[in-house]
Amino acid sequence: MSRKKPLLAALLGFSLFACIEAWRDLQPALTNPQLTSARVVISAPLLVALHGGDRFLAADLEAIRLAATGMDERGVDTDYLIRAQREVARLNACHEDNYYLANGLLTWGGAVDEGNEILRAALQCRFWDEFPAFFYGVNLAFFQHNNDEAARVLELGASRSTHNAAAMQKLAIMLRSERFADERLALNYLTQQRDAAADPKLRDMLSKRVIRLQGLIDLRTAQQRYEAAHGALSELEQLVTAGLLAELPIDPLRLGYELRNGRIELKKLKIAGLEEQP
Amino acid sequence: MHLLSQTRVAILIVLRSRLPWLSGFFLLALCLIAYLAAQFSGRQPATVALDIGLSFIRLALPIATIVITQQLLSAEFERRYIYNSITYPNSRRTLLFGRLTAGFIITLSLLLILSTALALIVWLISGSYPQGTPVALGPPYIIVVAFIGLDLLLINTAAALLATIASSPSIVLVGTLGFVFAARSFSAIVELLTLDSGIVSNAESYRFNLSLLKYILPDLGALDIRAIALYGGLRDLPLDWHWSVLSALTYIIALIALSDRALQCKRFN
Repeated sequence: MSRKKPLLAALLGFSLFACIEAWRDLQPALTNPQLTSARVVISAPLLVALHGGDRFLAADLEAIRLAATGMDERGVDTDYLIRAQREVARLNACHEDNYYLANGLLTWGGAVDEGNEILRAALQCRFWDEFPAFFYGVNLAFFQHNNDEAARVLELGASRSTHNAAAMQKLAIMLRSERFADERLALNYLTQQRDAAADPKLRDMLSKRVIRLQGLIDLRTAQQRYEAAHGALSELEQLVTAGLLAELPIDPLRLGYELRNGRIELKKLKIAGLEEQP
Repeated sequence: MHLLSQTRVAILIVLRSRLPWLSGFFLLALCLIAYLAAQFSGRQPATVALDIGLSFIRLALPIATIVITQQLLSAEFERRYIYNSITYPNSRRTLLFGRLTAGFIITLSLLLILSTALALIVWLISGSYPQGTPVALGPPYIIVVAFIGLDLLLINTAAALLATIASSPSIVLVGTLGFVFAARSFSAIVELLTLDSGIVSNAESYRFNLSLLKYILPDLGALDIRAIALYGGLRDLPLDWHWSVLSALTYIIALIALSDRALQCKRFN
């Protein structure tokens, strides 16, 4: 009998426990006011400790987590990505997926400064890699209109690159030359750069831009002479019919020229959805 | 001569234990983990596979080392085999050194097997996707593995010291793992706290106190130089690598001397 007593007591205990839980289930739930907070991002020093002192592992797992979660309605938003990607950049700034995602998701998703911060870290850490330099340079020029810094970063990228060096050098030179309001100065600048270029690919690309700019200058001189004699110019073809030009200059980049607010300008490349950007 | 025979006996003891099974499990797990991790990376699958694989090796092999040490030293004291093991002509010193050498040999061969397997997997993965920055599986990878080997030797000696002074094998497990985690993480945490001071209220004093640890613990985090293999080049090798190696070696010598002394003074009853 004494051997069954503990068993009975255990049975009693468990059934009482089940009864209490069943009774609590019937009660109206005492809910706290819903605390909707953003997804948790653990700070980098703690992540290192949690991963056994292995910062590379911590960076990899966090990068996998944020790449796998993506954006949805469950508390994952740009704010989460900003914080998570910054921690990954602190753990391992060289992480390729991280800077690539940061450029795609943060910078082009509206968080320009935060995305650029990660690109800047990658630019320093991956001192052989041209792509962070390219992304960062383009972002600087496109979003922040900081052409000087952008040109410097692009030249840095060009020095790291083997295949794209000419293209990046060209971009840097274009960014520098756009600062010149005076198109003659810009032409001098471009011509100098072309003559100094050792790379035949770059020289070729720069020559096209020199020809294009030369065409603009020809058009503007013709416009001045036309307007002195006949009044305001309304169409480019009037320059040819008035005999000031044998024909309209041909743009080697095939973008052409246009009359905008009474002034002849280079036509800009149209990228869908981006004209409205400030 | 005694040392050689001691080492041979110790290796046989380990090979008859459950360690071969454990190593087989580690090998399978390593292959699976590295392969799966590569699936999660868009731009650098081989790098992520190598990265996670190295992390796995660095987490798994200390556990193997602890199991070996428990087998070779703790079991000896616990089951009273020691009375037989230190009979003439074996001294306590040859026993300890033989066991330590055996531990070193087995740990390093495990490291060799796992790292070769990892290199093979990463090579297979890197064939499927040409990366902008390919991984370096040549000399840089060998250097990285050698540094991990040094890290494991230090952990092995630390486990041996704990085994000689502790009375129970679980202290070896808990103590060595704690030592490994602390020694590997403190330098990285100190460095990261300078970047992110918002996490603790008084980051500066916290950082200072934490950095005092470097006089007590070896900086095992500095022995993790895998960036040279991940991003393809010796350019990433830290400039003070020889000081890290030297400090680890002196720490190993100190630990061996200490465990020798501890075993000499140990009372068996």
